[in-house]
Amino acid sequence: MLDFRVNAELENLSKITDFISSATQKLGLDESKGFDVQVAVGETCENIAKYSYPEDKKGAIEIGCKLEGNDFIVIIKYQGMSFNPDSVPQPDVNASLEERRVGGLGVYFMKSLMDEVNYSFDAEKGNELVMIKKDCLI
Amino acid sequence: MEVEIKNLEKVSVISLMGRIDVSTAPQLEEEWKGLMKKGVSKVVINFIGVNYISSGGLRVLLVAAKEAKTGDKTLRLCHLDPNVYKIFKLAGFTTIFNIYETEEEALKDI
Repeated sequence: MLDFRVNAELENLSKITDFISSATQKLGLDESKGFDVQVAVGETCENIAKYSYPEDKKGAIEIGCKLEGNDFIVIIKYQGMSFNPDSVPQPDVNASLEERRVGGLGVYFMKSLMDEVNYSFDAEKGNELVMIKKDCLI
Repeated sequence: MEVEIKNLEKVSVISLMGRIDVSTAPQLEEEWKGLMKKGVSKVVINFIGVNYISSGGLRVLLVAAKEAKTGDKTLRLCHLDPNVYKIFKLAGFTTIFNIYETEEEALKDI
C-alpha cells in the first residue's frame, strides 16, 4: 500500500494530486486512467477540506493506494463531519447555459471517473471512502 | 497557475498554465473581472499549459460564460489537452462553450 497523510487544507490539494499521480504511475496505470483517479481524489479531498472540519481545526486526510488484481483501489480516511457523496444531487449536465446551475460537479466527477465509490462511517474509526477504478492494467 | 494577458486590437487573450482548481481559480476570476471592467467584449481563454482542472475551475468558467451571454460578450476557449477536454465533456461544457484547437482558429471565429 502506498500511503500519504496531509492536513485537510485546500492549499494541500496539489500535494494530494501529485501523490496520486506518482502512485498511479508507480502501479502501472496509463496516463488517462491516472488522470481520472487524480481528479476524483482531488474533488473528494476538496469536499473534505471544505466541509468536514471547522475552519480553525483542520484534521488529517489519510490516503492509501493499492492494486488488487487489475483494479486500482484508493482508500481515504478522515475524522470530522461525515460527508456521504450519495446525499448530493446530480447536476443536469445537459442543461443549456442559461439553465445550467453553478456547482454540484465535484461529487459527480468523483462518481463518474471511478467505477465504485463506497462510503462508510464508524463512530470510532471515522469516515472511510473506498474508491475503485476497474480494469486498469491490460 | 500562471496567467498571461495579451491585449490585441479587438480581443484579449488569457493564457493559462498549470493547475486550475479551487485554490487557483480565483486568479482566473480576477483576470476575467478585470477585462470585463475595462469593457473588453471579446475574450479567448487559451489553456495551452493547463494539465489539470477541477470543478472549482469549471465553476469560474461557467460564471464567466453566463456573464458573457447576458452582457453580449464573446468568449472562446482553445488548446485543451485531451484529459482536460475529457473533463469538459463529462461536465457537459463542450456544448456550452465554443472550443477550438488553436488560438488562431479561435481568433478567426470571434
